[in-house]
Amino acid sequence: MGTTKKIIQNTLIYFLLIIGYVYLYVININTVLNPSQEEVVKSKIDFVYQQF
Amino acid sequence: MLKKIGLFHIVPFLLASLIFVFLYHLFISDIIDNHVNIKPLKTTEISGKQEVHAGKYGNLSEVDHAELEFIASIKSKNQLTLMGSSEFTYSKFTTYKYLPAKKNYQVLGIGHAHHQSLSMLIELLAAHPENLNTKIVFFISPDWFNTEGTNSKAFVEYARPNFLNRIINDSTISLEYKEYLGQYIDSRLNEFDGVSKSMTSFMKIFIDNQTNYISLKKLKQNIKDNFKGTISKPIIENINYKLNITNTIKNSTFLNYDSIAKALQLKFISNIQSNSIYVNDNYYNKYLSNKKESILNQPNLKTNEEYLDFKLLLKYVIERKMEASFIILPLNPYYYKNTEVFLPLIDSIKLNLEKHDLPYYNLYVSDTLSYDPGILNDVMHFGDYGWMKVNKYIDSLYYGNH
Amino acid sequence: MTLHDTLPFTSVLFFQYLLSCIALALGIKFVFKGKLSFKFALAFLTLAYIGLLFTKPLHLVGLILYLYTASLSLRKFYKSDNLILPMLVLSLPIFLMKTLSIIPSTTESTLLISAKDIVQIAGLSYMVFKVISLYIDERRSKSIISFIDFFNYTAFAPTLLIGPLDRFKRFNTDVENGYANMNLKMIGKGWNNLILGLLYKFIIAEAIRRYVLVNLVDDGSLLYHLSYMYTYLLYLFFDFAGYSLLAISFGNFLGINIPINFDKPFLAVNPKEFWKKWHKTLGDWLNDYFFKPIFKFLTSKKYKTSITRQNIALMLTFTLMGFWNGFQLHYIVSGMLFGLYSVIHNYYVYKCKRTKKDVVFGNMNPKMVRIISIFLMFNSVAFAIYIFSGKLF
Repeated sequence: MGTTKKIIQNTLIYFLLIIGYVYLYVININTVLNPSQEEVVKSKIDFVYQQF
Repeated sequence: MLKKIGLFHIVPFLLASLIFVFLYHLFISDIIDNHVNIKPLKTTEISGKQEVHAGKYGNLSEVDHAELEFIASIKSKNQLTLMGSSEFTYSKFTTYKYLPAKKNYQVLGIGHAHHQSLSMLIELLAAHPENLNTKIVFFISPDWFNTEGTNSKAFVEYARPNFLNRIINDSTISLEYKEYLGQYIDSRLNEFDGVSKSMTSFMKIFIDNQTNYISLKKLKQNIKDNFKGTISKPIIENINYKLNITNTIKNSTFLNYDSIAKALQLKFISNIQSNSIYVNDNYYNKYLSNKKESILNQPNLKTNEEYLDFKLLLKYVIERKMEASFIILPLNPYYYKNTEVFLPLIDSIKLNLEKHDLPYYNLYVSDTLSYDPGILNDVMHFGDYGWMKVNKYIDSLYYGNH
Repeated sequence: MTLHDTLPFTSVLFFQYLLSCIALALGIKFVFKGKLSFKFALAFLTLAYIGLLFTKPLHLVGLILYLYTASLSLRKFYKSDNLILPMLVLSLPIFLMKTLSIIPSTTESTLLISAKDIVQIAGLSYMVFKVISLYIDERRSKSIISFIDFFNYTAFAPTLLIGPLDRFKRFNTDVENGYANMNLKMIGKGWNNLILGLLYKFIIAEAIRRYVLVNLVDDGSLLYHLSYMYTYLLYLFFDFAGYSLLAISFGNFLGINIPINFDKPFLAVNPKEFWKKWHKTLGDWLNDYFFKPIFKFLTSKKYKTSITRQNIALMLTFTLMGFWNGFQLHYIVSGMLFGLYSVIHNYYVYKCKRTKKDVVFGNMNPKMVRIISIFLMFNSVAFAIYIFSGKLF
């Protein structure tokens, strides 16, 4: 029973990993779930504009 | 042991993949589609009356109507648009202040530091329906070619959402420009926090054109394209500008540019107490007291990102038959010890411009003997004397006055 | 390559670094038959991480040198059993960092900014705690710990940033076993932890953050606060537990049995059990190096009754934990609240023992008692963590 439970558990983990990866990192599902949400794009670079 | 790995990991992984593929093809894309109401392409109309005929904007977020004034300036046959970077100061001798003040010309300046070729190209692409034959002057600072092109912060500042939306939706704009933007965004993707739908669309154009078939990027793009509806075809709002162009009446005041310029030059030189390299005291004491000289890196014309951006900008300017001219700024050769390393770049720019009969005013010098003191206020930005020379050049070129 | 900008598990580059470490170690094991001793190989790889990828390499090395010199000096010259002075000496860096962190940025002078830059080193709090436990455990041992063993223990890359908090003897035993520990069994164990860690941190926590947490609208209502409270707790759990699992998994791949940090914490029925299930290594550390010494000290002074001494020790321990997180008010209050929970439970246990019956639940069905206990514990934790988050104040 332990073996079956482990196989089911691991199948679930792998399934969630695959589906999570596709939905979070390949297609940005957020744009579908919240289409009206304002898109905020920022730069990670932080510097002060200098004359020099 | 291996049996354990096979049973507890390989089998579950294969099972999980099968389940995923099964769901993916059967249910998932349809469920997503049904959840979302597919709206038709939305067009937002931005309308207004042109009110600004002088001055400058550092960027188009400075005031609410700056974006509109920029498009209007491009559209107007009577207004000259100046595109530059850090030399655009608040001095009253800057072209966008001086010519309107003295002669009631219509001149609008756009830019501050880090406003470079790519940002200018994007702004002009966004004004594609309005920019045919537009009157425009580009201020090229050699210092741009010492940077690594346009960084993501400048991109976020100048590649405004409205502009990117307009460009992606405009089917009359050649794919080459869109692909170039897509490549830029893709190469700097990890510098952005959040990516908009239009940016993703630009990247798709770039990725689709890649001939390297075995790439994770292409695979991810393929997965996205298989999803129906708004995942593979995001709805990006289109922008329409409805502008009421207004004009001012020029006056024909005569200006003795040479004598005014000479006076400014003498005044500048006589005010300097702290140095003999023709840098104003404030700047010298603040930045140069510990660092008296600098060495330039010779830009590689094949790989220099700014130069590639500039060439594409030039291509677009020519394509749209703009009445464009170029001011090439100098660097202070007393401070920059090897200004001659930029000569191949400057020559290349000049050659490109001459090839297409585009007028330019080259102020770049490679030695101290040829340097006209006072042209620059410091090591790279125009002084009032320099601005007067530019004013004379522009008045002559666009308005026929010497 | 983003040099000097790669904190553990924050980017792909770190994973690539870890994979190269494992490949290198396996290479030395099988191809070079372990010619290079494991501890030297590990030290080299750790140094490579600090030197190339860590944000402030020189500061970190400086910190390690300070802690090593301080530990040796204390071991040589300080013979008393009173542990307060050694703990203060060793935790001086934490103290400096936390104090400087609460000074608001508007009052910063250039001197202050430089000072802050020196002491704000990622992973500092954890490193200091590791060294304190090392000093206390090994101060009476016959042999002096070599610098290389000290370095490997304190700077081990997977656990550098936020633990789990390992103990020196246990860690060093694994390192002494060297390449022998890098066997299929450990790799299997590591892989199990890896997939679960990836799922927790990069899928579940990320989904909660992206689709729930950022979308909660702060309208000041009770519903908002409750939603935020529970969501944040779940987010924190999956993120932290995921991170711990990833650290453990890569330790496993390198043959090191890093202790677990999270073990179904939301099934805890009381605070004592909770701290054996949530951030377990911190709980154990606090128990061994704060609670027990404080209780022993109070007992030696014959201060009041045993139950009072226990409660005082508990309260002090958790308040200190609050300070360890930061000198900001929300950290301290949160710590004290956890202390209060433990004190209440401790008193309840004491009362039950005294009256030989359950003073709260009476003769209620044990299953029901368990369910109610879990419910109470979960909500108490949620509230304390909500305060910890700094959202309220």
